[in-house]
Amino acid sequence: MYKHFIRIALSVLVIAPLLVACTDDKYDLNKLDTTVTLFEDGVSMPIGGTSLITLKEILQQAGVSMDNFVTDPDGTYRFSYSGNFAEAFSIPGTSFSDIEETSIDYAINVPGEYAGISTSLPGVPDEIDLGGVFGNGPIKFDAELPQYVSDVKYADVSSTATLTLTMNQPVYVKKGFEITFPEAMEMELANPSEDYSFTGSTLKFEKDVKLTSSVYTINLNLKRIKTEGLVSGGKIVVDKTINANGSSSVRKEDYSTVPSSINFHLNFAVAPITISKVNASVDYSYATVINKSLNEDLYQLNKEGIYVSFADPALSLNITNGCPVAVNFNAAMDMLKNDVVVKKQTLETDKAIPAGGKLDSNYKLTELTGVTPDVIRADFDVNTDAGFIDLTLGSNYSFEGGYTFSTAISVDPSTHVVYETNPINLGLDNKGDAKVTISMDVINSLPLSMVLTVIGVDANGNRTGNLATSSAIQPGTLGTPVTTKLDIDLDLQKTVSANSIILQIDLLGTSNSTALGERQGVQIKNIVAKLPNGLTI
Amino acid sequence: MKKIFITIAAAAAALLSIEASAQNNLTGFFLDNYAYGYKLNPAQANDYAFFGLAVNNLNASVSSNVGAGAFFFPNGGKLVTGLNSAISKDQFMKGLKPVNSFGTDISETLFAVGFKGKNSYHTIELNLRSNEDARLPKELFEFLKAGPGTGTFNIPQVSASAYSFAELAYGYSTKIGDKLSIGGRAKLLLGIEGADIRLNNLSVQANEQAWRITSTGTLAVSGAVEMTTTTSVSSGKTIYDYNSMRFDSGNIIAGFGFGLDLGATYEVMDGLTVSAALLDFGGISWKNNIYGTASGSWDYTGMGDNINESSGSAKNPMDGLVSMIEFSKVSGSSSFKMNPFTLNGGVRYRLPFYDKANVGLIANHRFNGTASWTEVRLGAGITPVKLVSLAVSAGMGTFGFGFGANLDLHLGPVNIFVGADSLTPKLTKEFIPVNASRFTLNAGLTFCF
Repeated sequence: MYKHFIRIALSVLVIAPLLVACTDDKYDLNKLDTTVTLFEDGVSMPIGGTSLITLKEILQQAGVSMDNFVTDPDGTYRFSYSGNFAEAFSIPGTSFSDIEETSIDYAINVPGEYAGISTSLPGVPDEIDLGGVFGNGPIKFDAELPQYVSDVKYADVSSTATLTLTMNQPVYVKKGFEITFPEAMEMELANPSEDYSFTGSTLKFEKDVKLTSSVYTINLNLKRIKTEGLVSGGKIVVDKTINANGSSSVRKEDYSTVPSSINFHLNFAVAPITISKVNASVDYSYATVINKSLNEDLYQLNKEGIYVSFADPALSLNITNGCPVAVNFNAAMDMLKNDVVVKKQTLETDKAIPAGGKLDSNYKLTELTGVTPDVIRADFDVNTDAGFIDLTLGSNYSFEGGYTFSTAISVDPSTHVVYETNPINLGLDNKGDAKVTISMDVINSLPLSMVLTVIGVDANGNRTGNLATSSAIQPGTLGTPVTTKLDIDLDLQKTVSANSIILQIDLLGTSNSTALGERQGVQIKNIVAKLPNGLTI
Repeated sequence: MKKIFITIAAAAAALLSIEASAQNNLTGFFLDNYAYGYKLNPAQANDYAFFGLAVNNLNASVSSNVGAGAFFFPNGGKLVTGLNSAISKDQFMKGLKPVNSFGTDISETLFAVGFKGKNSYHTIELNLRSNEDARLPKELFEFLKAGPGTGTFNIPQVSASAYSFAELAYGYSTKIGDKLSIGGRAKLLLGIEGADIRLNNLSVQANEQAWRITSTGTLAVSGAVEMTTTTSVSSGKTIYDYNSMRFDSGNIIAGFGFGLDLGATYEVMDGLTVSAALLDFGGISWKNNIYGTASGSWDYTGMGDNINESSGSAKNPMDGLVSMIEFSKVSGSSSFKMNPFTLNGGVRYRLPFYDKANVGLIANHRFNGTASWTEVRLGAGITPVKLVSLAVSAGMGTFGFGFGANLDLHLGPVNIFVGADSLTPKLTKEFIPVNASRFTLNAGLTFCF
């Protein structure tokens, strides 16, 4: 019996523990809520700060071109816009495209008793003088010149002329034989020779020259055409004769071949002539208006929310009058807003600029200070009525100049520009309710009021909306930056996560017209994210 | 940040949820005809020869000095973690130990044979074994729960390791005189996979001006595992890229080692036997094909003074915490790792009035650094009929109170046994102990001659 009890008791002891183990439905991991809140006693995370966000960076982010911004040595921004203008004209050259060839034929009679005789016969003279004037012939060419040419004096040309003497019997041209061309043609020998010289318009043989070949050629360079007084109806005409004066002879050694007459032929040909320059008188009248609108960049500034006023606008001009006549110059600057001129400052009225003269002037645009234009426009006007003046055919003339508009800038109360930092990764991926305080020091040296908005960005880079907006950030100046301490409370909820945040700065204009400079801007320092109740993820 | 927490929680939950477990089956100390009693004390010899193959002995345990109840809390019909805002810091911390350890120890005997010699008993075994443990200090959870505060927050060592190896053992026991038996087992250990990660003396200073995180750590991985390196976003160092981990290359044999079991029993008087044993004393020299260190400090004073110029990928305060688990590659290394070992002592008394029953007590201490544990177990065994042996025990120790029971069936030459230590009365629906526990499962089949 005892053994039986022991057997049963121990068996029960062994089996019992197997029966007492049980599962507890309260511990069902399938129902586990994985929401956790870390750092419940609070935690602060330093975030960092920004470098100085200059006005230039702000404007660049706004898409405003900064090409026309320059920085003065003292760091002040200056808006500078330069340009050029020019009015030019030229007097083209002309050419004689069709030159007539001029020739003179002259027959010289040889006494018949000497023709064909033997030189060994007694009484035969050593030389028979043919004497006399050979004759003359016309030389003629003409061409159209520009219609405004009224009194042509000279035409510089570049051409060649060829004088050809042709005879059917060897002839001695006697020393002093002259061939005279029209005085209107200034020529020179292309190939100087001891046989002849060229002076003025006359070719003169300096010794007896035996013209043994059938063709005797003298090359000349045609340098200038003296055309004064030859203008008629817009055409230049040369109509003169060639004279050949002097004597010639036939020598004894040639008697056996001497015919009863010798044919003498002068041929004068000129290559095509191009006139490169000619002094001429022109009936001159000139007037032009040059409008330069400096609207492009200014329009962009205002379009993007920065309304720029000019603190000390100035204009510099440098003009060269390349015309051979004095001109009158007029200049004015217009400021337009909504296509209406709201301010105008006249700079020059009928300022005389002599021929070949210059105008270098600087103008203070005091009447335009403080204006906030959409468009600034420069009106330049030049005019003259000089009557007849001398110009040169083939020359260029111009009236040209450059200008620079320069001004320090300030912003007016209409200004409203938004600047955003890049997303600042906090590593927070909020899935529950969380209180986050973003504290920071904002140092402002811009004369602008600002507010700062915190924008949430989720882990996928998508914006989750504006989380909070700060109180006003006080304006400052370059010399006296103002620090504003901000504590921005973010109430993150399940639907508003903030893995990252973007700090958006709204810059609001001011009536303070203090000039803006390179070193002015806004800087955010000591950004700290405080999670007083931890972070729920 | 959430990744870190999830990693920690997952590691804890994974370790907690291992269902098959048990280091040596201490209740088996009281079980008659238990073929593997020599594993508790190598001086113990069977009266018979036996042979087992493949499924002849599975011995697995999972132990934790905290249960799921320390991390999970029923709240309003839901289950929440201790980091949920509905759970106060005190409530969460109250259930945690200074070092919260989770360990598993699994041994599968692929082949075993035991036979008698002249005044001796011999055993030969081939086992596959694995040990895993993780140690998470209470301060780690306090940091996550409450935050770093305004001073310096120190977190003691955080570590996790997992080792698997093959064990070829030869055992010998003999009697010296009538009373004393001694025995020992020599073990050749072949490393298969090994991994050890630890972070030492992590300290965090966090205030509005700066976060400073300092720590040192090591990562050692052996076996058929490889990992490439990448450049750290937060530190710029060449670090191991966990995403590149591959398990199809590396060292097939990851290390060699040696182990030793020693034991003795002494029959003080008729029916009363005392015993003592040292088990698993030894270790393996692991050839690390992944070895990295983490050292130095990570200072975070913000993203600098040009955050408006940095991209969205700029480092943030949480990068510092991530950098804790970034390990820089260190060229070739081997490390010797002592295996956890056990010292036990027991007394067993066979009832004079009923020699088929015994009662006794066994004290067991597992040496495993900060995850060491101790248990004292009182038990009894009975063989009411020749075919059946039963044992039951109740223990108290590091893991609290627990029951254990064993059943052994002798069906002719076939011996079937199954048993468990520290049966816990309360489990989650996933069979994770709600409270601290050491749960051991032992089952097998042998052929006896």
